[in-house]
Amino acid sequence: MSTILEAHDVCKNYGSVEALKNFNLSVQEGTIFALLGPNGAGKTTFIKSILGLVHIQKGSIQLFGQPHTQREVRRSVGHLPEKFTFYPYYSVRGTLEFFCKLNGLAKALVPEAVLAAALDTHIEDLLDKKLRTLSKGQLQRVGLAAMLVGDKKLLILDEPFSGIDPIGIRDFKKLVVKLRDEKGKTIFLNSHILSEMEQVCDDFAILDKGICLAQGHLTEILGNTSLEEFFYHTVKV
Amino acid sequence: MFTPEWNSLFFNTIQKEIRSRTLLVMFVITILIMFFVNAGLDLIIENFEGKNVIDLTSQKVVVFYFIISSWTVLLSVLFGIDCIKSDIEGQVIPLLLSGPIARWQFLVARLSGAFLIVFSYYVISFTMAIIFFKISGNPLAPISNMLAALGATGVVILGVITLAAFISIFSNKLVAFIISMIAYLVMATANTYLAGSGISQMFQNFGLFKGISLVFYWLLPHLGLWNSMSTNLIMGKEIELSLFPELLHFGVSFTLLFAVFALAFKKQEF
Repeated sequence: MSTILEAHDVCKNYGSVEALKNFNLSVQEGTIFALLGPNGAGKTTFIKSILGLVHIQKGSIQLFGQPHTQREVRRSVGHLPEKFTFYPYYSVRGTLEFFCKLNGLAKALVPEAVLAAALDTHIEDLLDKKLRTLSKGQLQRVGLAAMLVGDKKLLILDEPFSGIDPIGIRDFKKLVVKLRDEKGKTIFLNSHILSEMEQVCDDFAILDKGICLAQGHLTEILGNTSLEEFFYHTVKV
Repeated sequence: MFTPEWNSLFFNTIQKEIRSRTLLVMFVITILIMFFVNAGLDLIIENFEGKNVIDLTSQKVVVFYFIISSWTVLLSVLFGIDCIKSDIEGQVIPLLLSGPIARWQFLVARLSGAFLIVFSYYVISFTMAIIFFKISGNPLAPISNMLAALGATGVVILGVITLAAFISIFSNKLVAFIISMIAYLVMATANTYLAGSGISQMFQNFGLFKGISLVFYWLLPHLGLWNSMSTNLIMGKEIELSLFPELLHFGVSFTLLFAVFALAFKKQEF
């Protein structure tokens, strides 16, 4: 297994607030990695740093062995924000077609890719609906489908379970596991819903106030303790 | 540069305006403006022409063109602001910029899309104006002048869109609209005030107003001059400006404006 994402001594400040302090992390290919932390820990800042949406002051981030600022490596990275937002007057099909084209897919392959992504995310019945008519859970699925159309190797999901009902969460977890097992995708999840994360992730890291407090393989680190207990102990103590 | 990703963003700029029905609304407004201006001018001419108040028949082309040109500037400001600001306000920009496209390419795609929309409106308004004048038997400028006027207005549209988009990344839409309109008016005034002056004349009676005018005149595209040039061409007048230095100035000042814009946009965090 090769390292797909690697961060070395990453520092990011917002004015006088240190969002990330010498943050180190490594994610292996074909795994589900969970970045855990309380609100305001710096999780979303780290994701934005990977995607080049915010600029880090110090350190380096490597994607597939290349600096994260290189455009070509981002072709293999998909991103689902906490709240998937696109133009509300677009249909689901129109949205997926746009993301196909944005990912450089040939025109002839677009209808097939749209249908495949819709089937994977169970939104085939929504294809002709406008985004403004969809619920939060349905929108997140559309976002996930939009992320899948370009044959991405690394999928980055920011708080994917927030605002989704229990059935939606269950389907989402199943899909994430299926993407790892059947399609060999590497999935980077960022969340504070520990119970859900414990069920799906292989590796994890705990981030608090911009500092990485723990990192490793889930079963090796936890032993007989639950993730919630370990998390509470690590962050509180 | 013209990668499939770039093309998708370029067409998306136009598509999002079509799907939000903005284009349709603007098209209806354009048609209404053309109709009412023509009808209004005819009414004024009918009522005042015989009374020797003013020779409006010969001025009709100028008035008509002034309105088209002002509407084009207004549209350029509106679409310039909207082309990037709507992505930022709608929180769509992180999705677009996290893809395999450089930020400057994103800007070029959005600005080109907005340019194509406004220029198309201008061509439609212009063609309709020609049809109106042809039907009513008014004299028209030679076709070469009309084509040159299209080119000159294209320069104005590109400059105004870029300026408005640049301003929009620092403020909300309303503030950006006000600042863009003021900036355009200051530029146009500075152009009129300083056009044709030699270097020594420019520094005579140097004061704050002249200083500001000079900064606008030298560092920003001469949009006011290009606009006047376009009007003069339509009126069939001789062009007094030296075209080559003006084109060179536009090339350099526009590149500078875009470079500053691209740099500021690159530094932004989303």
